[in-house]
Amino acid sequence: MIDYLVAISTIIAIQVLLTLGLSFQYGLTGLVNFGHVAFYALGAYSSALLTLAGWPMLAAMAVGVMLAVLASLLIGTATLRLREDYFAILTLGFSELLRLLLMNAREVTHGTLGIPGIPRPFVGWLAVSHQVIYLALVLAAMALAWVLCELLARSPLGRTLRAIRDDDQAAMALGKNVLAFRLTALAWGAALAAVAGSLWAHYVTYVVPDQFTPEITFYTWMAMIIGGPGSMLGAVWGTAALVTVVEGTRFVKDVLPMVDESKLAALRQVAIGLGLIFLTVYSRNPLRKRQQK
Amino acid sequence: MLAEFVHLTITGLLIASLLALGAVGLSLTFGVARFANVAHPDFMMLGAYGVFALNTLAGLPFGWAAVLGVLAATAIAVPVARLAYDKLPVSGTVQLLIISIGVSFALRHLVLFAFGSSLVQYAVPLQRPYIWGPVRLTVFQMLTLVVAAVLVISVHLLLTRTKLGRILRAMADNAVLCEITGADVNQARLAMWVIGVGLATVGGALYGLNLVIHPDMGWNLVIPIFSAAIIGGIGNPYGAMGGALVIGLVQEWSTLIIPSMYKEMIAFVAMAVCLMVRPRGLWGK
Repeated sequence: MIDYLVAISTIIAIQVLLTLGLSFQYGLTGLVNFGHVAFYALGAYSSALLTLAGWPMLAAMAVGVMLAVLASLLIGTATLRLREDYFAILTLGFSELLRLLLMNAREVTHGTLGIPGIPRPFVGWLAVSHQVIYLALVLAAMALAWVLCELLARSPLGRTLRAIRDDDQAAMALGKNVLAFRLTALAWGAALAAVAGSLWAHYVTYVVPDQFTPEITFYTWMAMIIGGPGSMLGAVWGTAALVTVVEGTRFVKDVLPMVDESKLAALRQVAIGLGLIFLTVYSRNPLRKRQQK
Repeated sequence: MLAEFVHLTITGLLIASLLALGAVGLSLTFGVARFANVAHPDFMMLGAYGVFALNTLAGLPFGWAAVLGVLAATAIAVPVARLAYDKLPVSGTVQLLIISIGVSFALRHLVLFAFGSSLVQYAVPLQRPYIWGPVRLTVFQMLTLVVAAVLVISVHLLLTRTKLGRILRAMADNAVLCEITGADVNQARLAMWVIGVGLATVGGALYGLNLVIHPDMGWNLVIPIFSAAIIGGIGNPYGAMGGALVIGLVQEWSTLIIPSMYKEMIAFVAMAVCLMVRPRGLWGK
């Protein structure tokens, strides 16, 4: 039972990093990023490939973060001038494109077989199980990211981002470089997602392209909407609530033994879809000011 | 080489007619309802599964199964679209876009729940192709091309020659002004969903006639169909036909020079380039 709690807490803490990044992008800045999973995948695959090539964990993570930031700047520069629905479709397409590349660039990523045997840190340390030490590391990363997000959101930068979200023309008229600020927000969220991906790779010790479907993106959207877009505290508790409920439904099969596992998994996804609709209708809309114009 | 080129061109035309049936409806609903409906390709998936259920599972002959399956899928999908996009107390393109993701998710996994995740196909006999020189076509492929062409022309006639078509085009232009002139906007919106969803379910039914179907097929069509609609200038149903033709043909022709596993990237790259260079689409003003 303790093992299970440690596992759930680790998953929640990693997912919180993703939610914080998305909340920063959408809730604070109004960027409709539907390709969040791409940056997560970049972090995970960089860590997997580089640590297996003998790099230390932190250096590999740093490379993953740099790649994710570079990718976000590239997509951002190309598409952020477009309307938000075009931006959404293009980021979604980008994440699918990356998954296709991971599946097909067999020489590097081993395609759909994935990369097993990613080293897990702290194995063999004494006294406490390495799972617990890893949880401590992940929690520390989460806490650091949370504090940084809060500080950034309250800083003049955060104020400018909110102004751009509410009325980009007014912000531009005041002399703000709207594109540069949007790129900053996009890159910061991408960096957090890459850290999450790296921590995930070292936690599960293998990566396959199937782990990086758009489902991760929409799961993150739901966690963010539960906690309230733009609220960093909300990102933490929203993620915790969502993961707890979804993981909790895995126990339903003990109550209903006649429904087989794959059908139950499908029903869980139906519930996620309906939940996303319901929450979108009944939650705060960060773009309301812009749409009222 | 010539034979291969002809073969790829025919495959490209087939893919293009399937994409066109999706993209025209997507473009129409985008123009009138003003949001990107990510669940639109999942309506195609519903059409394919409607025919599959009646044909393969219930054992009806293909003709009946096709007609009844398409009708059943449309009868399910239109109320879903009305409820999710017209009746909920939301406004704003981004909110409706997120809701459409939820609709797509729920539909896909409901089908997965009902029919399982395996690849399936209709219970139709294998067709022997007719051969004219390098051209090889089966009866089903000809049926696909003809049905797609007839439907696309009917939509054109409907949009240009009927009162409903005039109202729909006026709504796409300026919804408020259209309502002021006394047009029944609500009824026109219902008609728009029936037309868009109907085209999609027929497209899905034809998809199943040419390819194997699975619950993720709608999701996999999201990028090609959006690509076709955007290249044609989204909101413009005529452009969507041209866009589908471009995507279908280029995607197949590309396999002559790049590995075929990357052909799915073509649609995305075409869409990205188009949006950066000419965001109004190839035929936009």
